[in-house]
Amino acid sequence: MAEAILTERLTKYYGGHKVVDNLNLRVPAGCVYGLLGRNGAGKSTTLKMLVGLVHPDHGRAMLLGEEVSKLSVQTRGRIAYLAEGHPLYEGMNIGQAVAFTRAFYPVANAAFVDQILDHFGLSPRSRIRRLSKGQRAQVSLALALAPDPELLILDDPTLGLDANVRRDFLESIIQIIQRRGRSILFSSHILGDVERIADRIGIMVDGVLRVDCPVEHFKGAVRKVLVEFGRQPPELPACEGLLGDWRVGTRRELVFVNFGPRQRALLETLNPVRLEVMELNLEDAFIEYTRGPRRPLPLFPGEPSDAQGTGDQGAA
Amino acid sequence: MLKALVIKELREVLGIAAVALGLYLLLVSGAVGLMPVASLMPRPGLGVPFVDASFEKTFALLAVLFAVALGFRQSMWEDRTYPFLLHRPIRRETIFLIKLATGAGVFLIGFGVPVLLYAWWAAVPGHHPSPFEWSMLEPAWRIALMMPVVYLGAFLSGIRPARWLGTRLLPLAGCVLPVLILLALPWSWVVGLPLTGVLYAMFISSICYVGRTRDYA
Repeated sequence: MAEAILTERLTKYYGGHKVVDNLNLRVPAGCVYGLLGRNGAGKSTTLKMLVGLVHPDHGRAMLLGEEVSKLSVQTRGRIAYLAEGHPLYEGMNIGQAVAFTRAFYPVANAAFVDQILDHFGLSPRSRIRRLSKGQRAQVSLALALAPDPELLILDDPTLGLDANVRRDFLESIIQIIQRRGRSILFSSHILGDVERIADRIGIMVDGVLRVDCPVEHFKGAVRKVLVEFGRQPPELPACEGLLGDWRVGTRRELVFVNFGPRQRALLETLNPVRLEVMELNLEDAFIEYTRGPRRPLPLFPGEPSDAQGTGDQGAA
Repeated sequence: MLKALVIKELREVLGIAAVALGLYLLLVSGAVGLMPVASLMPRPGLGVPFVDASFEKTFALLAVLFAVALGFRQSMWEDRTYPFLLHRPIRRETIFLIKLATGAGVFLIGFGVPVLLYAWWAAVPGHHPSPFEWSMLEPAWRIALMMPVVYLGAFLSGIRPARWLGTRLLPLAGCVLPVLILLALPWSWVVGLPLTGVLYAMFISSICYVGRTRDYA
């Protein structure tokens, strides 16, 4: 089995609005895949479709070689899912939650779960309703790992956690990754986390998977180009790979995918005073890639606005 | 795993069951003249247990509230935790059938125990100056038979997605009329039992269908 997750033209509508649009996603076995996107991009809906909580309107999804809609109980037992917000039964204590979860998985590794709880300093007698957000996340992770799953699907697992807890949480995930053959698909808003643990990323924009590549490849592909003209900037001709174009005073700030000699030569024809190509980290690359048209903020009414948005020039 | 699910459901409905049982016991205590608070409660059937119509009405009203509370508690209140539960390696229908069996069981125990206590008291000679036959419990058993339909209607309303509350409550509203008719008409087990069975089957299959096909977004 080459792919832990495979989707073909997966599509979902909510009230006539397409929230996931013909998604073709491949997560190879043993891969850690970070699914990124702005709020409402369709990440959570995608993950919910993968675990069968939401039914797609078109297309299909396969997990560990089986179609999600026909997933056998045995295969389901090899998959763990961590839902957004870490829903747990408030009336239980941690020990009861562990016992409840363990009952569904004959191969549940009790000692491993106890080790994780011990590592996080959580007592089985602690009431779920009294746990902090971070502790709930830790309990959720421990419960998800109880069956020693081959595939983990995590929906924004570090959302709302403080930096220390997040680091602890990620360390735990890294330890899991180091166990043989585990595949992880997770969504996140925290690019630093993604950069740390993901082999591969996907970026969803308005329900469409725009990017699907290794992290380093994406970072290397997106470039910001500052073009200073020292005068009123001229109009830009059509340019391959141009993602964003903003006029700021006498310069243009351009964002490119795969900026190369052809694009540079085209910009040189506009006689700029200075042309600077900037490398971006993952967070900046993500922001530049996914941001919509920038408009000047009316913070200082009366002052002449010197930043005028001209809108996106299309996505790669 | 079935045991774990049953325990979880029991843990969740324990509060509602305790309140209902408490109210029923209070009612029965009043009816048998045990508690001074009885003066605040209707004192149905103090002369002839299970014969006075107000007893049946009070028991039925409490049963409706009990059934509706149970149905919503097990369905709508689970909305947040469905993502924790429903991806487990177990058929979704099994999860919902266990929920229903547990809820109906809790209802029948919560309703039946006070009825039986009252009947036991009525059956002991010297407690009241009127005859007692076990067949006099038939109205109470009719309520016990019919109220799970209300419970199922509330459950279906709780689990069924809808654009607004009014349409969401349609199943609950829809079960009221047949239940009222079946309770009001002269009872015949030959007709009433199969009709009630049909209502059970309709609601249970609807719940399983909705539980399997709806989106838990």
